[in-house]
Amino acid sequence: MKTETAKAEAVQQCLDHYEQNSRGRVVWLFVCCILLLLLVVLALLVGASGLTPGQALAGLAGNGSATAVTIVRQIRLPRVLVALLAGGGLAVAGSVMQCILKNPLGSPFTLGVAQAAAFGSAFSIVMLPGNEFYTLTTAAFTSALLAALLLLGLVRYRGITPATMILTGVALGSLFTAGTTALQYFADDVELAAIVFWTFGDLSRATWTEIAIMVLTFFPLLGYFLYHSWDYSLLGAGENSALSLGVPVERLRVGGLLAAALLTSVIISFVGVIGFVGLVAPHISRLLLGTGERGVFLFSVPVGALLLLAADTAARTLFAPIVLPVGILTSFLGAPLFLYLVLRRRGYRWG
Amino acid sequence: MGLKIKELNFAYGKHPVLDNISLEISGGEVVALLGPNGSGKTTLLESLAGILTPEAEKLQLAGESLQALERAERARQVALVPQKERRPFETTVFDFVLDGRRPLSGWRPSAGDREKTARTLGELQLTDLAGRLYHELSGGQQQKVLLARALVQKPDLLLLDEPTANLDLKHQMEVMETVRARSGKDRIVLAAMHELTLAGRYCDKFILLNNGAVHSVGGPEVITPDSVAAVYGVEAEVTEQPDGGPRVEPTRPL
Repeated sequence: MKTETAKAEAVQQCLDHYEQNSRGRVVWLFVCCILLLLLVVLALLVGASGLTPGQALAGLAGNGSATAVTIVRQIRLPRVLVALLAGGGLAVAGSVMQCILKNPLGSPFTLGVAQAAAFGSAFSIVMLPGNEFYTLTTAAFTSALLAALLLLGLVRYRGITPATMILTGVALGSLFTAGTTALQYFADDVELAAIVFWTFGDLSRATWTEIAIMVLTFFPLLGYFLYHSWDYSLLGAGENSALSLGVPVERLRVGGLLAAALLTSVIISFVGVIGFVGLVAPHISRLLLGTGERGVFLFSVPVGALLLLAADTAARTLFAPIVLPVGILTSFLGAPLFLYLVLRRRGYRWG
Repeated sequence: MGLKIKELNFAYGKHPVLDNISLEISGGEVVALLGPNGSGKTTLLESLAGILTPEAEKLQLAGESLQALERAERARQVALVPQKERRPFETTVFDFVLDGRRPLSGWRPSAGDREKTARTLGELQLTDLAGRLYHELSGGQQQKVLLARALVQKPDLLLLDEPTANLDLKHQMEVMETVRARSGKDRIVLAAMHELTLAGRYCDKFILLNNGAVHSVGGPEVITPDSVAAVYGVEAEVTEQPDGGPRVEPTRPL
């Protein structure tokens, strides 16, 4: 009898320990969300326009001067929302790609989606008449999504494995880069500048319509990813283990690839290429979580949003009144951050 | 309860690997799947686990066709313990074993899943490792964790792919003792193995595979100098262990 109680106690201890860890994770999630909230307020109050925080606050409430209202409500607020959506979206897309590719270097852009979007925008700038924002966005989006479908079609021939996806993605990426370079060669100076500017990544381009489209894409896809997060985390166990645990591996790979590509295409066609958020945010999430791949999808959303909003706020204020494109800053910050994560954690094994 | 396999064939492209396998195993039996490298042991296990899709006249577990089952449904009945598993990201032992509840659970683990995981860890004396990282464990510990994950899956058919490969003597015995202890009349255990004497000690029944075909099936009496010579190509002395299983002492390659 005594051994029975001892056993029951050991089981309980094991459970308690696990629950304690889980609570620790919830606390981190909470901390991230609080930080995010504070940062949102800060981002609304500071900027290049020279409004004092008090004026900005009044503008937000709608009873300040007309300029303050316009600046805060029509310029800063949409920009903050875009940062949250794009940051969260790229982060979760990156987490999914790292799961599908079984590779810590996976990012939303691994499969050539960004290069394809850049090609689409260059094509629209040089070839299509009008040069309107919507032509450009549609061209970038269509090109990115077509690239993902093309990749899926090609990969189906040899079986959808992480290796075939990465190799085909690299090939398609350079193909689209070649296309963009060719278009640049035939472009005039103005067009060339427009092409280059598009690739910078800039959150000021999107307005309320784009925000609505991003919301409508982001939340359903996030729901899909969260619902299947356990299955996706099991892809990391390898195809055989995942299959024997009842995970429909191929369906998940196709579904995840398409969903991540759709989300990424929508985001980058509106804001341009923003590097490193999708790569670094999942790793920061893992660092905070300790372990437990299941939680990475949910966790990476506030982390990605926090990263991008912080980078954008810095881009707007560091060299005010000059506003840097945020893509430059995320790359500058992201590269050392990523190196730090890789060097700090020796746990990553490739293959 | 019972596993019926009739005329099962599998080929990688044009290269046949399993050739007309027909077997019947009853519930409660612990069966050793024996044969040299390349004889089709792993392919047979993967065919039963649904990782590969073989052609078979009949593939039934407890009278139900395994091939007709959905993947998750199948995983509720059949569990596979792979030789090893490598993951790109760190996982604690607890989370690793909890993954075995995937086919029996909703979109995320329930309190019941966590409790069953903790209990199985306790029964396998793995509680102290629960918070450790899987990839930092020794080979023997990893093998036990893989076994624990398959056990929380509560399978009717438990498949093990060389569960004692690369383990020291103590871990070999511990793993086999656990397998033995967790067998039962509602469960079939089928283990691909290389160590004949170890298999002889812990298994009720032996299947000898040779070039993808069944050479012989049966109790300890099928392990004879002749069958070992025919399947493994070695000369061997076969004696009896104290508890009745065969002890195989290879003497020279033929």
